[in-house]
Amino acid sequence: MSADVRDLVASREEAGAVMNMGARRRAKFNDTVATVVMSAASLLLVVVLFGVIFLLLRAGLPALSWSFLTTAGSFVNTGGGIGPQIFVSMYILVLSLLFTTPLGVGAAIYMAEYAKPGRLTTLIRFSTEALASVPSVVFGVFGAIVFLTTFHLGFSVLSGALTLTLLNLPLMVRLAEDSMRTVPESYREASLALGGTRWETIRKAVVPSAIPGIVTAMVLTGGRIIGETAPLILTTGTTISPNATYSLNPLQTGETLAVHVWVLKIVGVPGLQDAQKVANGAAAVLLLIVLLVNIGAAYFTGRLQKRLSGTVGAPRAGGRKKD
Amino acid sequence: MSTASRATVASQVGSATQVAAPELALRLANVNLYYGSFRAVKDVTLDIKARAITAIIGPSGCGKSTLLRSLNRINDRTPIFRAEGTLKLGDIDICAPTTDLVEIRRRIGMVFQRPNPFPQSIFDNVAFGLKLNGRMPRQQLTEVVEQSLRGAALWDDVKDKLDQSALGLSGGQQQRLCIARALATRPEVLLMDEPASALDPISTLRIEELINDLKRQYTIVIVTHNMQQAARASDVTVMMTMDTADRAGNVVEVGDTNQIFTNPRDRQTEEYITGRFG
Amino acid sequence: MARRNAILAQSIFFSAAAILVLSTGALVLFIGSTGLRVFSFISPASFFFGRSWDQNTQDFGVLPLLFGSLATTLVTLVISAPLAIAVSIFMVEIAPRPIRRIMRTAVELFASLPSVIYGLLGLTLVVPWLRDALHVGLGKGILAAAVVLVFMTQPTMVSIAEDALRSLPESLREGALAVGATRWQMIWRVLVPAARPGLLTAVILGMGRAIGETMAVQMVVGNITSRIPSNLVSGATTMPAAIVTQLPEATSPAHRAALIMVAFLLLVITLILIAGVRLATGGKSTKASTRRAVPAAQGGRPAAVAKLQGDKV
Repeated sequence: MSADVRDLVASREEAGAVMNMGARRRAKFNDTVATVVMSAASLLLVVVLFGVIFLLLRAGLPALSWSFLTTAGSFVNTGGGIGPQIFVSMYILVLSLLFTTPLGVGAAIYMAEYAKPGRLTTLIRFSTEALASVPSVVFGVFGAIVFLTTFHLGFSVLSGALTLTLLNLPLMVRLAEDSMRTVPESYREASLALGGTRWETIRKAVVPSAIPGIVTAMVLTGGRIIGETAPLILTTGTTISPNATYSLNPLQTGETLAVHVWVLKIVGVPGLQDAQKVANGAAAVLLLIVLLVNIGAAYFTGRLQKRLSGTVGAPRAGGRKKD
Repeated sequence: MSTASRATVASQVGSATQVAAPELALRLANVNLYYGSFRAVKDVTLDIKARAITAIIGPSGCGKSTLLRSLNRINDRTPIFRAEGTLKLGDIDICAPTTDLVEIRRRIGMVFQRPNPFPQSIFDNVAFGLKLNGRMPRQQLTEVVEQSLRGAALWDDVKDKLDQSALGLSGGQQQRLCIARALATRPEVLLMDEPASALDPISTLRIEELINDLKRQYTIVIVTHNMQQAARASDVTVMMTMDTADRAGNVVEVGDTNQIFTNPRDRQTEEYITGRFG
Repeated sequence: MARRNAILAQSIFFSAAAILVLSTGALVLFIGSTGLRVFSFISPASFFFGRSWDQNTQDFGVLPLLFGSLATTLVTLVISAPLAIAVSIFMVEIAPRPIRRIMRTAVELFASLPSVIYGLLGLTLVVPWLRDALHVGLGKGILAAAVVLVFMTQPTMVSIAEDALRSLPESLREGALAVGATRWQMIWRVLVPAARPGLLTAVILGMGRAIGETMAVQMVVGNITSRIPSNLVSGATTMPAAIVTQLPEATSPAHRAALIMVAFLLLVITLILIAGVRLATGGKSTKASTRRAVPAAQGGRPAAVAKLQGDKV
């Protein structure tokens, strides 16, 4: 073996010769170039984002006022607003969350607390995954076939809300399930040790601890509902009937804020005053809502973490799969 | 130059240097190492002999690893880490901001606590360092890879599966592969951070034998928790402890391994090697 | 009593979970069966190989739509994939912590913008810019759509690629640096190959996003369905854009069925992409691909989830 070692050293000078300075300089040069390129790409991305937000707000903010947010668009005078569209957006938001939350949380409880590894669980997981990857316009088509035609709901707020429920279910399930999985195993054990049934354990220990996570999921889903456009064009429609603005009838057609931006920019509303100003203002409102949702979600996340950092004991015991 | 004549030259060079008085490979003077405002290692002045094995021992948290990892500046990856004092490899100031890190790490190789082969083939793992600095003829590359694997006592285990993933090897084999990877770039100094701590006793023994073989041509600095290992494998032992007042690690005794283990001068060293604290 | 409640509870939760499976089945079944009716109006050959889609002549050849989607996605990926990988490398390996935090916020914001806003930006910034720079047509077309999609796909791709790189053990980095690699050599020769499955997943899911994106594309692509586009800057269409433009106004049963068939194709392509992700990651894909749902709404991965998964910041 020592012969081998001597051999190693024999080639030390030789290896040194191979490590020529040119190659080393080239490696250094490449390192510098790569660093510059990657930094520049990242800078570009960030500048574009913040630039874009700046441009949107600059174009839209001057239009904003209380009356802009509360009045309807006008075909006679300038100064019309987006009140009805905000109302429809909020209506669909509430209606859809009303369906999505219990369904999503229920499914999440099943997946986090009951599901055992097996074919059925794999099937549910795969479905969730598939549903999450389907483009939103395909949900729109599904809604148009099923809710509009088969169930005869027609273009309506209800059709739109049901379509968005399906669209958002996977997100809700995943976020809620994740938040339940972070509930320390010791909580469950403590409850079970006191003689509670599984259902009591879930009700008294798991769900309360998962509430900040569920709220975060609702906020995120809500943000997504506010911004959604394509499925709503196909299920809710692009008009608000003039004699039914602010109507709570779920079978009315509707036009959400996001759809309104598209209609104003692409389809056009003949005779509407200030159409471009209204479009820019509506876009700015959308953007502000999205920013607010982000901050809100971050806030709940922060609370969630604070709670966890205080209470997390041993990580979940063995046996429960961790994914 | 043919292989045969190279071998002859090598053995002459080898014997010549062995006859000459041991020179110094690394010199540390007033070295202080910090994490932020916390001083992890204080006032280390130490000469490390060439072609000898220097073991750094001491209780957990005394800064052994930090000291070792500052020798090739791999600890620079910790953002708040900072080194003060003089660290020299020959004439090169390791800590100077202008020093070429690539050159330092080429001359000072390192083997880590846990084997960390790349998820690539065995051959590519060993050839990794060689390919970094320009193209090498395939023939020569193959030759150096073989030498390095032989040097790490792994050649016989893997010669038939050089193109298989390194992750398929056992823990001990992986660690020897990492030694081969370090040897391939022909470093002068080899730093080893508890190289056998994650291995079973038999693999550990093989690594120790290997280290002993390597010392003919390499300067080896090894951090170890294992007293027997230090006693068996090293020529010089450096004893570090943690100062109870400021929790900074410092060197309390340096000496010939035989002397340290049979007749320690420092009370803390004696207590540590006899297992009374640490 | 308690026992009966427990059983009731379990069955309710199970039903909720079952709805996920039923919806997926219903999605495929309804869209498939309705879409396939198109073949009672036109032959499969004239649908799959027809080079024109025109409701006036009742020609429903899918090639203009399919070609538009593929070309848009391809052009997007050519720019978007290297950009996303560069940005994620920057975030994981180069950027100091405060900058990384800003970047992550930026990426999450990017993800949460509604697609109609991207469309608006494309319409007011990209289209005029292309029109003036290239002096061809109106500026609407595949290139305009691709430019918008490059930015829209970044959050999905960056967050997954970043996760893939970040999850590599520090020991790999130390191992590479310790033999004298420069940082770039470490990234290119060790980290990128080691993270390949994750990076591939990022690209595939970005691709899924590009293929399925509707509004932003519809607003800038020109919506010309009657012919296969001959270049990147004249009007074209994509599958989702054609659906959302024409379905609300489709009066003839053939037209309607043809559009629904296009939706079915889109669904099939999506499912193939999911299978691709499973292949890329060797079977365990749940986390990565359900994440696609999140970027569409919000933050790539909401900080909550990411952090709770143990991704230390």
